[in-house]
Amino acid sequence: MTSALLALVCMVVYLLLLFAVAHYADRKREIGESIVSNPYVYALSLSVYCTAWTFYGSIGRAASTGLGFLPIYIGPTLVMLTGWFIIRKMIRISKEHRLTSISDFISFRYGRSYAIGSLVTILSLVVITPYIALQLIAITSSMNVIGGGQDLGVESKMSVAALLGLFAIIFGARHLDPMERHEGLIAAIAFESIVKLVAFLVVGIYITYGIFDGYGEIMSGVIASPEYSHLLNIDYTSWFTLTMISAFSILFLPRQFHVMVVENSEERHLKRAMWLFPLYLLLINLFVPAIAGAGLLLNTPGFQDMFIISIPYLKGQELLAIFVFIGGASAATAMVLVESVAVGTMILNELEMPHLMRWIGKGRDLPSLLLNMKRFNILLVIGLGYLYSRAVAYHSLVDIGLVSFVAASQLAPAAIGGLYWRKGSREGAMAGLFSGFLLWIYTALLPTMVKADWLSADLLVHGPFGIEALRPTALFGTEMDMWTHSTFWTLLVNGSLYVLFSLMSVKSPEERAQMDGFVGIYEGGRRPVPAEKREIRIGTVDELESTLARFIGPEKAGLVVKGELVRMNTSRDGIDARELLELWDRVERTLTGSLGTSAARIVEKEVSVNPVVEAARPTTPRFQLEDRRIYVVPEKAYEVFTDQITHGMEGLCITTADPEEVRSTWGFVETPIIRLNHGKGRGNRYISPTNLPLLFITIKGFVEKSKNSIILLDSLEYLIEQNRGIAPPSEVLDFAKHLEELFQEDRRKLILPIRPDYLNCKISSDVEPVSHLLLAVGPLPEYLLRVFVEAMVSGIPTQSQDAVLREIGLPPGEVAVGESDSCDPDMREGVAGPVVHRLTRRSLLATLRRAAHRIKELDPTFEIHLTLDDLLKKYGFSPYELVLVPGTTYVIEETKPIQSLEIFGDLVRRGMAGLCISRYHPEKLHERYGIEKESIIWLTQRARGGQEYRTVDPTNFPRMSTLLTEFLDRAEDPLILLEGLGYLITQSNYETVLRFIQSQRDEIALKGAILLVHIDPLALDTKEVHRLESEMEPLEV
Amino acid sequence: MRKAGRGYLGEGLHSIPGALIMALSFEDLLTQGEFWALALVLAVALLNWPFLQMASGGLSIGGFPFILVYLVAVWVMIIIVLFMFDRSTQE
Repeated sequence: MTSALLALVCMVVYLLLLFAVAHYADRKREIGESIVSNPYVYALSLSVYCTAWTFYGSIGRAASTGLGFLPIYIGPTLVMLTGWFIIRKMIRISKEHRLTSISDFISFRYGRSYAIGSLVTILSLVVITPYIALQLIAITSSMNVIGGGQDLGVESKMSVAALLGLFAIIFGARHLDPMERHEGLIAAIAFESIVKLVAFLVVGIYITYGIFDGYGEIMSGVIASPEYSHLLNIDYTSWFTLTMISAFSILFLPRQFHVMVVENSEERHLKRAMWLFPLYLLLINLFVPAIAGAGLLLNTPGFQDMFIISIPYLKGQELLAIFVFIGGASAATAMVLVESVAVGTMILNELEMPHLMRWIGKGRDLPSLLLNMKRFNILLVIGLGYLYSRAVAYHSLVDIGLVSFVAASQLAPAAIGGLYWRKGSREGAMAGLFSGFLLWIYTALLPTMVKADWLSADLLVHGPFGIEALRPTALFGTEMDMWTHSTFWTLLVNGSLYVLFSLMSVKSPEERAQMDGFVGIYEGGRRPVPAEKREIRIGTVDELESTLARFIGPEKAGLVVKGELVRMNTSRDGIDARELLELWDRVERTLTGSLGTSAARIVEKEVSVNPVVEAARPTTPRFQLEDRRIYVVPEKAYEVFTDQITHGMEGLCITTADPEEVRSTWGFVETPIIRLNHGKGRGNRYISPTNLPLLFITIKGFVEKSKNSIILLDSLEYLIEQNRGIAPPSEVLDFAKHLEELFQEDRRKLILPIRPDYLNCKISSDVEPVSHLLLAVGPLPEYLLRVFVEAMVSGIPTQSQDAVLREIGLPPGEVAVGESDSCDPDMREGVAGPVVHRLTRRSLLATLRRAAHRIKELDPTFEIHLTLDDLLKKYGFSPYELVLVPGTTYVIEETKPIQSLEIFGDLVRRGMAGLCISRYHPEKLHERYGIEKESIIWLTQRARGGQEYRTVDPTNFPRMSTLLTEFLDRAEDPLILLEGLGYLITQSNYETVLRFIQSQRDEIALKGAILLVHIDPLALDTKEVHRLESEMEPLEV
Repeated sequence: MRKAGRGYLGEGLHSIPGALIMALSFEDLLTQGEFWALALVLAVALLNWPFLQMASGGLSIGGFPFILVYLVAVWVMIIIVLFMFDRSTQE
């Protein structure tokens, strides 16, 4: 058995040991005893930064350029000084939003941009491919040293790559974790960090004190040697550049982001890691100058990088050499495992998932598919590294590590700007990243390809097309070392374009929302997005769970939903609409964790209801509907709806029918359809008919997002009947009332297919506008009565309550109002048949007055206004409606008729038919009190023909009487305001006016109308006021 | 994050009367962002030109080049400051 084979066997055994450690950690986590959730393991996991490059590359660099290897470790040390501010903020943001990779992190900040996520992923793949190649070559080269220069006789790099790929899948892709935490992997990384540190220290001590007489002897030998004394010189420019790019790399390399941010279990662990990690870096580099110097002084043959293993091997210390090999392999393995898992996940979430989402059908086993794709990506990443390692020469790999660092630094402006600068925008980030990436290819990648003889050296010497000013390593004549040159130009252009484009661009609302969640993460918690402004989700908890299950499996989805319900202190049955919205937000974050931000965004778009316009027909609409209206359309609702949406309106169809059938019958293509259905997980969009708050918020969200909306709700009758006995009457009333208010805005219309039998008003056309849904539809007036009466009787003993309810004809005890067998004549206006929903506004108020009277007898302290005023206003009634008894004439005494006119205007707007006889000009009344001119008769002697308003001479009382009689004959629920009594008196005389009032009072009583008479008490003497008051009821305003 | 109580630098100075006494809290210092910004600037300065040039004068201590001693010393100082932060903010 050759030593190389022995080395490979040792490596396999070591990997199995790592697997055992990982398995142990996973088992401990399952029983709730995580061994990973502690600050020491966290700090050790950060040491994945030290790869085979540390083991071999640092020594090679120290042997060739002296102290120039140190900045790679000083940079991360300096970053730890800002750890509690920068790194902690990154952790906080990532946990808050369930971001699981650096591409997620950056794309999320800029409005969950798919383009940015993709670009960062591609950049990361380009960055790590040579880095992985370096690890594979380091392992195989060290195996060659162990084997005395003999290789295994098989493709050793391929074997190593295959082995690492297999273990990466086992460690990082056994299941889909929404939070992408892999405790087993982290435990293995921490173990490896200990192994490589111990190996380094042991070999360092051996070489320094076993072969030489100490550090001093080696250093003295180096200083004294004219050949090597230059190694203590420092190129300050290069030093600064390497410090800076390594500082960026510790933050933005995919594996570092993963272990530092994603795998962090508690923020406070960071405090320990902030000093442990620099201590680790110091210790692992402690003997690098000594080993490099020893190798040079001993004239050790072979690559300088391999001094750490070749020195003990050549000194006969084979076991030590194998231990060092294990240490180096450990360093390489850790990097490959973490990096391939991190980047494999990024490729899945940012490049594959967004496209997958568009065509993946129902019924596919998505979780398995996603897992297999992730495994494939891991193998792809390692495979690319392997191919790269075959293509490049060993000596250029030292440079390639630095090429990767410069590339990783391109993420710095967008990431750090995103953390602290509110004006940073998606356009700025795209411009910066794209330009930085391109310039990096030109100034860093191309030169390394020339060095590797992939490209002609002419490009470096003469520039492209002979333009010397554009030489890749000396742009515009700047003469610096290659890394400083590339870093300078890329970050200058990247940063400048980021700032410039950010200042010029306008942020989308989504970007602004994400920006608050980033920059302002510590500002008293995230500013909550108002519920009305949020993306609207639909469905019940069950549908939400089934959506989530499509991506992470039913078991995990169930656990996530259950956990979130407990955290929100609610339950599946008890959850209300706002809590459901919050649950969706939380699930959205889980989806982000599983799918990445841009894929999760696509999923959300698929389940939210967005206004779209159907293909327009080149005709005029058949049905002319007005904005701010609710239409009852018993027979042709779908026809009317289709007509409107094919002429530019954005429609939402809410139906009990099968959506596919509706689409095929009526030809909707784009218009969203929501089915009212109790079923679990059927179809993509459904709402339970008993979930009225959610239905309302869905409709509201839609109309608010739409520019010109029309909603078809088929049907309100179904909703009312489905909720009978389930939802309290107040919930049904709230729904109807809010719906009515919602459609009082411009550019909104609502179509309700309701049977004429189910309406409490007559309709005279196919498409009838209706107002006051609470009085017009089905049992809603009875619900109103129940709600009002329950509020009124709540303060009296139960037995008395029953007595009151019986008296007004309501069944005592039961909430639901069904068929009324009341003997109250107001409740049954001669309507026969099973549906007894004929409670009118007037009879409702009359019943309330009767109930109030009865309650007052039982409880003299009862005041109806204190009990009912707020409820009346809530449901669109004026408190005065309760006071004003039909058939009564009232007098309102005030100096100016302000309150009188306001009360009149308010009552007319609420549905009473109004007539205002006034001294004021109609224009003024319309402007100030909103009274329609058709409702006004102007008291004036200056009548002119062709005017748009009516007038009457103040002395022409017969004419006034005729007008009043005509009005009373045709109006339902009439209300008359007579203002200007003083003017009438001065134009005629007091007695005439009094007789007029007396005659109208009788007319009012006969017709059941209400007459309000305004008088200015200061304009009349006491006797005159008394005589008027005796004819009328006083109304306190 | 400000905490009162421990780590008062000026305890011994309390015996000095008058308005000249200022109580200094090291703990308070470590919890302020401005301190860490200063620490970062100082550390970057100490670990770059011109300080590196000053330390690269060719001196050696016990056979160790002074530049190496200097770099390790600054590095250790950074670790100590970070360690103090961890200790002082432990709950």
